[in-house]
Amino acid sequence: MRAGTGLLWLCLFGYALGAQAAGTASIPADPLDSSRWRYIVAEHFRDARLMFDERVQVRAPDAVEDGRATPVFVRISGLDDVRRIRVLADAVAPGAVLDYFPDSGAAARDLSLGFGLRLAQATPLRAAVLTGDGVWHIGGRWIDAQGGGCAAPSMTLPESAGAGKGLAPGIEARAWPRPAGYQRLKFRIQAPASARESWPAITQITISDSAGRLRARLVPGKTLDPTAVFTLDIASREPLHIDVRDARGQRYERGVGSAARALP
Amino acid sequence: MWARCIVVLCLWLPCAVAPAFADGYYDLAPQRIAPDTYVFLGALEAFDFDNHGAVANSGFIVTEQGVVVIDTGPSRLYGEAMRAAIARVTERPVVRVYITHAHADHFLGNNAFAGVPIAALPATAQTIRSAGEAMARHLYDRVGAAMRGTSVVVPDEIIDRRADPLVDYGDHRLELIATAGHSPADLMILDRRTGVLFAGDVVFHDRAPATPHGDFAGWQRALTTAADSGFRIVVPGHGPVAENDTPLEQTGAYLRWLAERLRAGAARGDSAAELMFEPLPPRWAALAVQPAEYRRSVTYLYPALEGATLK
Repeated sequence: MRAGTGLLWLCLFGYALGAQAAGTASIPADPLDSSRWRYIVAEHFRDARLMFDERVQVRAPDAVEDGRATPVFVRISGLDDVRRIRVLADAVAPGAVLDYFPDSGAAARDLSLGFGLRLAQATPLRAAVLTGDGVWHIGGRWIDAQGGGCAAPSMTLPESAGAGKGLAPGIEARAWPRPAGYQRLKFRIQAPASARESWPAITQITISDSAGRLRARLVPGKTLDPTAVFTLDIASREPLHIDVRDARGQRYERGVGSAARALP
Repeated sequence: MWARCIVVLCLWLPCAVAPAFADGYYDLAPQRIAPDTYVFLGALEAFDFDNHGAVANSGFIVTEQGVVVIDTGPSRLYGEAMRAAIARVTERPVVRVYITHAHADHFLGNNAFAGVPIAALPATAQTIRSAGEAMARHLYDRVGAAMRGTSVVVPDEIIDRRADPLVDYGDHRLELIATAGHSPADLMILDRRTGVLFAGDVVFHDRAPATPHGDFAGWQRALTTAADSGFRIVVPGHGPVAENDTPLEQTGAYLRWLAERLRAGAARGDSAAELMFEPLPPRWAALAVQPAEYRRSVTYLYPALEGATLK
């Protein structure tokens, strides 16, 4: 029995090695020198065209300070026809940290995305930006495990306890006008403090304008901090509508007034 | 990361066979800054494997009644190195330890001072009791083997804030000044005989102030208290000793700038990690541990300000 299982694993391992080797030739060297890079490529970018691109900037602290909330900001400038932004943390693979589908109809050359991560270990953090020509443009940086200094220890929340208390969260939001007809939308999904530990996962967030046009769609992964502030730049100053769905099928919504009217 | 693990292994192996190697971690040379008064200056760095966590200043005063120690550093070995250095200056015993505040680089040498009363403000003792172990673990992760043998010793003498703040050690009259702002309780000690103010982390000098537990308004009040204390020499918690107000003014100006930077960022709608990478003005970029300390400040202090802009 044991020998049989071992043989099976050996076969699988051999198959995996072969599969890896087949794809290795075209994998560009990782500027972050991550030991997991080829597995990341195998999982997310198999047979895709990849390039490391300075136009994709990932900003985050050098080290995790508070394991519950590490702020991250992704800025994409000068890339045309962005279809999708996939945020990856090598050490918390498999799966993406976050998928962001911007408004593909807009000529969005400049996009920003801010969010919080629950992170307890050192990891490369990457943003992969898929453009209409099928190329993934990748930028990233390392986040170290713990910050140093005259500081408190990192504290990481335990995994969600599962059973919910059925408390409906609210959405706090605001929009700021930005240059070139953009607006910056920030929002935070707020649960009562007592419910935070047992909150169902957020499965999808959509942002649409007053005409019903989809402006952004976010699909959070497990390590995303669902209580952190999300920041998005939207190529419109129309009033927006935020629609959040969770794993229990609940839906929370709210409108955000026109950023143009918020001008002083 | 792997390089670090290998470094840890290499440090541990010789330790296991040659305990004397431990003596090499801290090369503490007391600097005499006033009659009977000495300081150990910490590195102007964040914790790492090379500085072994010795990033804060500590000090001692040799009085007729014995030696008064202010802060005990990041580890037992540091505390022991302090005691050895003190013994090279005087034969008098250590009679009291004061802990300025409950941050790991200031009190984790306590267990080198067994049998000596260790005094601190109530909130300092409380924080060390509740969070000391987690802080020690954090420091172990950062600095490695130099931390071995370190355990948390909670101060056993609570300073009563309503009691007489003047304590005489022979002809050294010490004034215990209770403030808050850098942390929930910040003790400063003024030696009225020499005019030396041990300011703890109320005052930083040429090193960016660490603000994770900072309260800007309280901290500015503490700086005013320090400025009004009539000191002649100030020992900052981090950075060089000074015979003027410069470190106080520098700390106050930085904190005012930081508070305004965070406020303006929240008002503009900046995202936290976006604001973190805004360049620093040359004056503040020139401080030690920048931009890391500024970025830590954003991590800790910005979420509340940012959250308050949403509704």
